Amino acid sequence: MRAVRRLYFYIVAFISLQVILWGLITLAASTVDSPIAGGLSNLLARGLAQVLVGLPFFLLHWSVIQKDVRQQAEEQQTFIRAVYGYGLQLATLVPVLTNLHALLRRPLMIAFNVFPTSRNFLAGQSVTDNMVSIALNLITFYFAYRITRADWDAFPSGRNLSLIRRLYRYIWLVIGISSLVVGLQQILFTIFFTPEGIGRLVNLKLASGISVTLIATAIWVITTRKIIPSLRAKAERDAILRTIFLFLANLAGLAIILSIIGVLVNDLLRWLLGTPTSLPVFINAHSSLLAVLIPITVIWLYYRRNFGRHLNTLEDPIRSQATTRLFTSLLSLAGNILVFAGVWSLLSLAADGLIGDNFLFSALNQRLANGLALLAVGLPLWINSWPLLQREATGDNQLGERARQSVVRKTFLYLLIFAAVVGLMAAVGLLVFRLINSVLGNAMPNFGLFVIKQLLLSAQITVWLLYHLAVLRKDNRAEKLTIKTEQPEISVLLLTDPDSQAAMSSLQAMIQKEMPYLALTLHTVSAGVTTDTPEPSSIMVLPASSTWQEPVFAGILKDFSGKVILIPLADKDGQLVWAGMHTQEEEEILKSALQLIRQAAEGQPFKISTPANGWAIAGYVLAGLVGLQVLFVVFALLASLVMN
Amino acid sequence: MKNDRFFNGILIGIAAIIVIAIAAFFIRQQSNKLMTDNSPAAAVNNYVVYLYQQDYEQAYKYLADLENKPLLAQFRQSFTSYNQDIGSVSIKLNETSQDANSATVYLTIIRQAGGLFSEPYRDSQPAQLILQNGEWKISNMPYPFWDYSWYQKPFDAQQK
Repeated sequence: MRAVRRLYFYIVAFISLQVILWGLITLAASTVDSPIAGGLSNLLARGLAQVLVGLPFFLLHWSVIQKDVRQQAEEQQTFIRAVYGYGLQLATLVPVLTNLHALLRRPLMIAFNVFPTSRNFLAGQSVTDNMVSIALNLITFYFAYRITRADWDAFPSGRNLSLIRRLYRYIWLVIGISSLVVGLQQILFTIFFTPEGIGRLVNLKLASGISVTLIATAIWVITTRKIIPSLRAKAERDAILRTIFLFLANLAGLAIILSIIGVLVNDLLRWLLGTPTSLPVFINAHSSLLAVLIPITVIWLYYRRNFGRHLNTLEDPIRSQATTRLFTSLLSLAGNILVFAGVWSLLSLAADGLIGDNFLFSALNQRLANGLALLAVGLPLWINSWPLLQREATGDNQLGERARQSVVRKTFLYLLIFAAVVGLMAAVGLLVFRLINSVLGNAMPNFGLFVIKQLLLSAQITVWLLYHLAVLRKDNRAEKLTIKTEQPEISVLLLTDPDSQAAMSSLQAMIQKEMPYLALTLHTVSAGVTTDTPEPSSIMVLPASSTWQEPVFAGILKDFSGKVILIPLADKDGQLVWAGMHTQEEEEILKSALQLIRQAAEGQPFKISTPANGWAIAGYVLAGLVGLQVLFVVFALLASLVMN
Repeated sequence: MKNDRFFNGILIGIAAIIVIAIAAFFIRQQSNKLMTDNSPAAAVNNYVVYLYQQDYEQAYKYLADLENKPLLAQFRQSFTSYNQDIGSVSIKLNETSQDANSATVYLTIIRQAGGLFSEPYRDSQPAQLILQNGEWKISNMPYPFWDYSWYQKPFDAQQK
């Protein structure tokens, strides 16, 4: 309830402050640089109305917030307050920067002789309007900055503050990088593009590009200089947000670079295969793409290096390996699809050339260039990613076992197998349909060519299907082999008192099924554990209640230096209550214990996944479906870019 | 951070790109010169050059004296409107075909596309000219150097 109340007060305080701010900007701008005639009264009325309505609402809600903070200091480190402070900073700095851009662009547009009707960005505003907007937004920014600074002083290690500050910095980093690429693209375009005839095609781009680049460079440098030193703290270094940012920056950068290279290779091949052009014309016709390619490649190289360093410094090797595996799998998937499309494009062209009776030789170079460009992009991508995945998965060690069992690899293989099976059904189905039609006297024109092409397509899909099926089978065989040959290096001792014996026996059965290579012993206290003192490297698992109910456990634990896993089983009398744990069924508790034993046996850091919730699973499925659609759209866009 | 050569190299690269772009801009800037001969191409060239110089009076002189010719004020208004932006195009004069009283100058209009990945695209369009009192005058030009409302019958006249 308190959270809902807090959310309400901060939202109203945010909106009312924005209303006051923009009301003040209108008032100040109309006073300093007043328009002629009736427009002034309208502006004054609007500004005054905004201030007069916004001010009481803001004061009322802000005073309640301040009162809450005075009464309870913990209010200063709530999630919503942190969002309010950093959100207000973002909401005020963005208009400061857009107005700064307008200010910078004006003299540049005059210097580069930009035609007046092209000066359209914030064209209705004067220098005074921009200055007023910047000044008042900066004052509001300082108000927000003081709030967060006071909160940091009160709670120097506030978790919510730290979380939102991290998000705030990465939002600025994304703004900085994307604006920098856009700005540099506009400047580089003016270098690559040689003006032809009369006109001012590049003037506006140069003025805008310089202005955007200067501002974006400042954002990028300031944000980077905040983030890099913060990485000395483990929480910042290992933050999942940093992993996500670097992952997406690398993936998006590579996708754009490869798409552009695809287009350039395609057009270069068309030129080599006979389309008349010359080097200056070629460069002029691709100046936008070249202008994007250079900045994005340099920035991608910089963040690729950072991504590698980040993965090497992660404390959790499993997370590092899983992230690398996911990244490599996505590259491999893209490479696989491109190679398939390239091979099919060339096979189809060969069939047309050899059998087709109305084959257009003029289209030959275009189709050949398309197919070769797809292979030129897809093949290096596939060759540099798929063998890495295979090498990891065929390893006769824990890493190999983990790779073979990973959801990413299984999804990757099953997705390709699924696509191949569906594609094969469609190709063969269409062929059979046409064949039956032909037998029944309804033959299509060029039927021979159609049959040959469908057979070639089916053969290609079959090769893809068989190869990936073989990989999947090999994985499964290796998995079984690992289980059989794994040496029992790790011994696990299950200790129990008679009350928990049934549950511990269930756990024993689960371990024997999942990890048969472990040396496993179950002892009840009455069986005399002192004769089988476990090795220092081993794992001891015992019901938590035993540690205070049976004094003998305390003695064993005192001398034990291995990993100890306590199982919070409910006691008979319901006397024990576990703080910080949500109620779990015994089966769920035992599954969590099994997960911990696996992690301990594999030398991984302990990490318990939260139990699956039906709604959460439904959410994940929906998010996955939406994500898949977005991926398809992005892939279609990139593919169309290459194909065209 | 200060010792990160890659990061510092990018910053130096950005500065270098800005300097090179400004230098290239001023070196390459073609002076849009007026042509002195009395030819259809010279008429089109001078019309466009005067438009870029915002000397609308001089540009207006190149319009053919035909029925429903726009007034100078209407002519000027077309080019001060944001809908008719000649600032994001270039025009290249190609060959001319002419007979005694009329001529066609073939033009390439190079337009700036909006997207980050879009390249400038080219249209080939003609400009039509007629000979009036021994001087070549323009009777039609492609957009955005021409407003299609010019030389049209007023709306009232059309209704009648």
